Parts: sequence; structure tokens; C-alpha cells
Amino acid sequence: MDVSAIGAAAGSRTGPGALGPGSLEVRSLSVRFGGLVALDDVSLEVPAGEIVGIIGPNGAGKTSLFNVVSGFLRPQAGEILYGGRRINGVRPHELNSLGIARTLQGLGLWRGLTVLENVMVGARRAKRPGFASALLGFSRSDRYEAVLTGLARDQLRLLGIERFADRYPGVLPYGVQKWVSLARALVSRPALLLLDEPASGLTATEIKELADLLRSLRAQMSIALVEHRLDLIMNVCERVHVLDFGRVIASGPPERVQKDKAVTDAYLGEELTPTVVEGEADARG
Amino acid sequence: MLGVGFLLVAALVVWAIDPFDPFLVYQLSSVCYFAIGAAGLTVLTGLNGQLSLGHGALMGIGAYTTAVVLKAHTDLNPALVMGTATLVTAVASIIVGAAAARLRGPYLAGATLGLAVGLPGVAVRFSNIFGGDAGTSIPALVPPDALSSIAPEVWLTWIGLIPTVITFVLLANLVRTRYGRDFRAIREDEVASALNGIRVARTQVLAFVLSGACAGLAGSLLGYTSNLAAPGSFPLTLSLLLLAAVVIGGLGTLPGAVWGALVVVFVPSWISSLNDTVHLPSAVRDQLPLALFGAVFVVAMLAFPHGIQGGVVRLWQFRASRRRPGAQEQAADL
Ligand SMILES: Nc1ncnc2c1ncn2[C@@H]1O[C@H](COP(=O)(O)OP(=O)(O)OP(=O)(O)O)[C@@H](O)[C@H]1O
Ligand SMILES: [Mg+2]
Repeated sequence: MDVSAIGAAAGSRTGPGALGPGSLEVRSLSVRFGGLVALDDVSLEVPAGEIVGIIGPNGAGKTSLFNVVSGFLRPQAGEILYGGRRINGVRPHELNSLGIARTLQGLGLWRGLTVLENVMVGARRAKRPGFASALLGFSRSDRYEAVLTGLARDQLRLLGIERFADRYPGVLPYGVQKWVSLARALVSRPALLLLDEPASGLTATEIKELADLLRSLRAQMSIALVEHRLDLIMNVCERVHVLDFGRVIASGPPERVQKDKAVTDAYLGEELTPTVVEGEADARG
Repeated sequence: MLGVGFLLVAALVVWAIDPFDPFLVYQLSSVCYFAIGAAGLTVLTGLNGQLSLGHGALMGIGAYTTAVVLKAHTDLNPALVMGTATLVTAVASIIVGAAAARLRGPYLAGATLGLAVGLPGVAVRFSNIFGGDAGTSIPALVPPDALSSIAPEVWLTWIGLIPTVITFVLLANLVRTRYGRDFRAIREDEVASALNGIRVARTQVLAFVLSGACAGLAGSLLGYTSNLAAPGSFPLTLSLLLLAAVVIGGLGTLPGAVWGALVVVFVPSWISSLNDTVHLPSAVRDQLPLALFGAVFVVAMLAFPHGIQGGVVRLWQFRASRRRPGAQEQAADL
């Protein structure tokens, strides 16, 4: 079964446009940890086929937002829509077959699995042989393994890291490890990709390569990009949402957001007042 | 690698089986059930990262099932008896595994420790079924009439090899598929596992049930070997010995389970026979084997931090790298 087809099916209920296949929209999300407000009435969207940046100072709630979307956190209020369909209460392990992939802040690779095995786990498919088949070593199980190996190798080749297939991630340069975590997310051919600081720890050249890669993916999926490296954001994003203390303080095209007073204040850690920059009106249209 | 392990064990058996040495044959049967139990535990602890101090007790369930089944049907085919013991223990493991999947680290160790300490008490409590402290006897396996020249102990060893080989073949199949990868992925990072579509809790229960089934089979064979299922046969030290076998053999490797089984069966008896040849005050002599076994264990772990199998793999790679520069830098699981 083709996972991207599920995203497409989910989207087809509301038709194409902003809520098309693979799009993400959150409405009035609130998440509290005891007294701490991690997300406060957050609404934003990642339209189908766009790259949307989510920026903000440390502790602003960016990772928490991803945690809500991927089912690790239950929001106290609000809605999550994927391809126009409400997915509140989704469990993390269901994302893969829904066509949502997420990379983790840092690496999140399995260090005891080879690069190839890491990517093979990402390449799950709905129709897979059962436990008995694997236990008894049936050829169905072998064929499935061969298919996974092929998918994983193709993905590694696409990212130019096939030569590391049989190595363990821990011994590889950090940049290569980042690429492996991207390969693991991409191999499932997601309709929506959530990237949590993919550029952290990368060299300037690697960030340029990453920008090229992300732009080349735009045709196939929507991307939510959490990133501190503003150069990458400026380079690839159609639109940016700025979070601070769990609130969206600005939204719009990157050039405009960058000049926004509230945003510069937030990055200097000053008092803030939520403002909306001009771009937002058309963004929602 | 696995094949090499099998050949070594098979060669050892063929070379060592001496029908006139009942003790050696008894030891080889012990190697079989330790190897089965350790294979299951290495999948759980080594591959899936769940520590169990309760597998000795699960072996007890296998042995008691064997005793109870044989009490009702004395002549039941041993394959059926062992199958029943495996199944019953697997079912019991679903409950334990479901609880274990919610626990981590020291809490999991504590809970399974409780199992090891508490379960023998159940056998004592329901003494009308399980025979109380004295236990329940298990009739010896006797060879069929056509092979009556074979001593029952030797027969048992040959019979014991069958479930051992089956267990290792099945587990080896399993761990090289997605199940093996999922087990290891969960051990390394549960969040990343869930995000990649693995049902973490369910897979952890599966690993527990799988290793529980192995413990049940091992316990059944232990019952046949000692002709008894008694609370005293499944002390906490049995669980610890299983764990020692897994660690010393090489955590998470199936050949390591065979090495570990050989070590925990043969090393203590070599030490005690050595001990008998020197003349020491009895107070020293009685404690020495245990102390020496501990010392051997510590030294072995220092020499082979990845267990015996880790050492074997390293040696293998060293030879390979001399022929082919740039060989792999790390020992793989299996
Ligand atoms: N599980 C949790 N329990 C309690 N507090 C949490 C939890 N997760 C996050 N927080 C808090 O919520 C706030 C938002 O954290 P979050 O990780 O979402 O920030 P972030 O924007 O991703 O920051 P960074 O740029 O440093 O990654 C922080 O104050 C953090 O300490
Ligand atoms: Mg974060």
C-alpha cells in the first residue's frame, strides 16, 4: 500500500487548496504542563505542498507543537487537521501509515542499528508478513525484507549516502547522521514532513545542500520546518510563523516577519505584544 | 556465525558423549535447557532492552506444567508435553509482559525479581496440585524398545538437542527480520520507534512472550533432566545464572547464549573438581567454587566486554581486516 495515497485520500474529502492532501492546520491549540503554558491558543497552517517555517526563541513551544501533532501530547484545547481531517487523539505509531513523518531535535537515530537498518525501519508498509511467517523464515518474509532493503538503499542513494549503508551511525560525521535521519523520514514517502531543527550542527555548505533538498521535496510533500538558522528559513520558506512563550506573535513571508518589531524583541528577550503582520490575511485566504 | 556455534556444539556433543559417564550426559542436557532459556532472555534483555530477573520462575512454570501434564497422562509424547509447557508459560508471560511493558529500568528489575521470589511460593501454597516443598516427580524419558541399548540419560540428551536446535533456528529467523530490528530500535529509542510506526508496548509484550515461551520450554527440559519439579529447583539464583549466561556469552547474540550455557554448566563443575584435588579446610573449600566462579565471571567480562561472542567476532574481523583493509569497525548483533 502506498502511504502517500492515504494522505491523498484524507485530503480528498475537502478538495484541493490550502487543506489539500498532506496539509496541516492547528486551531486554537493550548497545552499546559502544570502551571507552565507551553502553547497558548496557537493557530497556524501548513498548506499542501508548501514549506512553512516555525521559529522562536528556546522554550517557545516549537517542539511541543510537533509533540501535539504527532500524538505524544494531548492538548487541553484545540484541533489538529491533517489533509482537512481531524486527527486529534492520533497515536504516534499511526503517523507512519497516515503519511506523516517527523525528525527529532538532535538525531534520534538507533545507534545499534546500521544506517541501512535505520532507514529500513522507516520504510514500513501496511501489508507486511506476520509473526509466524517471520518465525518460520517463509519466503514471503524474505521477499518483504528484500523490498525494504531496496527501498532503503534507493533512499540512501538519492541522498548520496549509500556508501555508509552498512556502518553504524555513531561512527559517522554529524552531517551524515543528520542525512540518515532525513532518509529515515523520507523513505516512507510522507505527505507531511515535520522537521525539528534539521540544520543544527551542520556546516554552511551542508545547510545549502539541505536547502536544495527541501526545495526539491516541495512538489511531493508539505513541510513544517522548525529551525533556529534563519538563513535556511529565509532561503526555503514561503511563510513563517513565530512562536514566543507559546503564542504565535507573527506570521507572514520571511522577509516581512524578519523586520517585525515583536519578533526582534522576542529574540532579544524583551516584553512582547502579539501582532499580526500584513502577510497573514492572504495566507489564510 | 550461528552456524559455527551450532557446529561447535554438535562436535562437542559427538566427541564428548560417553554413555558410561552419566554426569557428563547430565551436564549436556543442562547445557541444552540453559541455552534455550538464555536464547529467549538474550532476545528480551539484549535485543529489546528489558531486564528480567524472573526467567528462572518462568522456567518453573514450564517444569510444573510438565509435571502436572505427565501426572494426568503418563505416556504423553514428550513433544506434546514440551509444547504444552511452552504454550502455558507463553500465556503466563502475556500477563507479566503487559505489566513489564509499563515499567523501565530498576522498576522492571524489581517487578521481575518479585516474580522470581514469589512464584515458588505459589507451588507451596497449592501443595495438593504441585506437591508442596517436596515437589512433583517427572518420569524419566526412556528410549523406545528398538533403541533400548541407549542409556536413558544419553537418550534424554539427544531428545534435548531437538528443541534446542528448533528454538535457535526460529529465533535466528525472527531476529533477522523486521521483528529483530523493531526489538533493537525500541531498546535504543522508544520515541523514534513510535514515530516510525512501531507499536512500542505491543512489541515489548511480544518480546516478553517470546522469551517466556523459551523459558517454559527450557523449564520443561529441566524437569525431564532432573525428574522433578520442586520449588527449590527454581531459586532466584537460577534467574541470575541465566542472566550471567546471557551477559558472559554476549548480550543480544544467539551464539552467545550457547557460549553462556556452556560456561555456566561446565565452569562451576571444573572448579569444584579442581577444588577436590587440593586439600583445604572445609570452610574454605565449600565457599571456594562460588568465589572462583565469580572471579572467572569478572575476569571474563573485563577481557571480553561484549561477551565471548563479541570476542569471537572481534577475532574474526581482525583476521578479515588483515586480508581486506577497511573491514567493519563494530560488532553487529548476530
Ligand atoms: N514534557 C514536558 N514537561 C514539562 N515541561 C515541558 C515538557 N516539554 C516541554 N516543556 C516546557 O515547555 C516549554 C516549551 O518547550 P519546547 O521544547 O516546546 O520549546 P522549543 O521551542 O522546542 O525550544 P528549543 O528551541 O530549545 O528546542 C519549555 O518551557 C519547556 O521547558
Ligand atoms: Mg525544540
